[in-house]
Amino acid sequence: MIRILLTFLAMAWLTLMVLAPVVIVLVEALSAGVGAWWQAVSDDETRTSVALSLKIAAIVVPCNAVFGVAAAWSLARFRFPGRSLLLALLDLPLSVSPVVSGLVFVLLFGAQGWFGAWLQAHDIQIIFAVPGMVLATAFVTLPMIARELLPLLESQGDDAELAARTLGASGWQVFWLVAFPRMRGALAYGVLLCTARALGEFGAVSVVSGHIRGQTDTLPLHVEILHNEYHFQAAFAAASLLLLVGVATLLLRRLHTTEAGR
Amino acid sequence: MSIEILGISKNFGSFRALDDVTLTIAKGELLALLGPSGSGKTSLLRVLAGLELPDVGSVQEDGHDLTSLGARDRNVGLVFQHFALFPHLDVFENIAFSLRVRKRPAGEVHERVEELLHLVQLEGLAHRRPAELSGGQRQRVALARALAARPRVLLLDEPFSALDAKVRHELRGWLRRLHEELGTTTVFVTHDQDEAFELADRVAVFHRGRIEQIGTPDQIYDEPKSPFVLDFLGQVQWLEGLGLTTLGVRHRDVTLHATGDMGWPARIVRIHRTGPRVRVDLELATGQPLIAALDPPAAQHLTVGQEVRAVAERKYAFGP
Repeated sequence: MIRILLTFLAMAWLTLMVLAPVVIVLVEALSAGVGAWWQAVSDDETRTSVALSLKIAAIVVPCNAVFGVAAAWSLARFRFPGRSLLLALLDLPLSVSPVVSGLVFVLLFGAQGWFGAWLQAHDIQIIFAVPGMVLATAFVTLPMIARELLPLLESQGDDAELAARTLGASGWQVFWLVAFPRMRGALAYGVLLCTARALGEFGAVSVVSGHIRGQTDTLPLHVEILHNEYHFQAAFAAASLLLLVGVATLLLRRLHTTEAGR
Repeated sequence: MSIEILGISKNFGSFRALDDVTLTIAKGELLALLGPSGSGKTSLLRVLAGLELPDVGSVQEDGHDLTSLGARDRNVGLVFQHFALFPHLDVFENIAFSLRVRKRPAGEVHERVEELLHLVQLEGLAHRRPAELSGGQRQRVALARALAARPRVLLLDEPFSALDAKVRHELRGWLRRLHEELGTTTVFVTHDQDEAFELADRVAVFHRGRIEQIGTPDQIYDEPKSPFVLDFLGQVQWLEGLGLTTLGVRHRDVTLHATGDMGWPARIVRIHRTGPRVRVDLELATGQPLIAALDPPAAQHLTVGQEVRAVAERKYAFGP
């Protein structure tokens, strides 16, 4: 009885909170037909915003991947002074509101910020421009890959790597021949999650972007603009693209877990 | 080529893992480091492998100081307790690893790996992944991998503890024969005295970071130097108040006699069969318990409650 009740509760809640919004997005996006959807999606401003989102992700994800591998590896394998501080810092971007993260960058690089005058003197624009949005996205998604790798590395232990050393491998050889191949799967999944998050980031990017149409509009920001201007169908059409990214992530994750389970 | 370990100490925080250990390992010998967990035997193995730097002391080989030489440059073969095979590489590439990182020509690598596969009797399994092998097969891959670059010393950390009893026994005999065939100086860590005694030329008994006693299995078994060694070898009963010192009596050294006035008067409390021997629990007239491990024929006519004389054929007394 309790089993049925709890299952029902969970299903009902999921339907209400997750499935219904997804359906609504799709229904609204297609409310004026596939043609209107396509028109909204292939609209110039929408296309520019998609391109910008992809560009930001293309810069941020590789950076975070390199950082994530380095951080997870050193945190899992070495005991050094400041290790626990680094662990705590690693979680900070996830626990701080993205809006705050955005504001921090404005405070640092904005016209009135700490480095504002210097940046202006050298004609470098960070805030209300792409570099600021890259920074904000990078900050928000910083821990995602490291957090994916860390538990894996810790559960694997360092025996295989020590074995490689006793077999005559140099530090680089240990990393490339033993450690890296064993984290490839988790790394791929971390990259996937990080990409999805980078494409969908709203709060921090919204603060630093300045909402310059056709210039600093990412896809999520563009959805908001369309919505604010009462272009509901177009807003939902653009939103359906983000939804597709989410679904693709889930499908790829499915693939990844079945692969790992083999 | 003998290896000398001179006055090595190693602390982990406030824990003294090794306490002034000095030991010479002769060329070609098979040495067992025996002791309970935390006694320092594995730490010594890691110092020998170059994975751990001692706080004090040195490791020398024919007068050359190896102490500060890292694991990479020591050319020792280390077999880990859980084998630590590379799960993403097949058996062939696992064994070839030490040759690949040394950039040996492919032909040489192939020849050496084939030779080792033959040695560890895994010829047909070259292209299996470690996950597709049984425990005993993994163990042999780990051994072949450790031997590939012809190490100066072979180090084995609890080599059989991850295997089930039957495989463990088979591999023991096999390892002994392998050692006779190759003659590689070998040091292995174990907490199992049977394993140490069956395999090793010499056994070093560890206790609290120190070597309590070192010698041939006969020397250790017949002349244990301390209560710890006697106790660790097991099957011993400690008797107090029968003299000035505490006496250690091995179960198998006790014989029982229905008549006569030798030994101690005792009453039989329980008789039960334990594998090849019969275990008889006794209560001495002083109230102390004593255990006798008898051959089945000797226990044939005994009954529970019977009054007997218990004679300790050998007693161990240790000075204060």
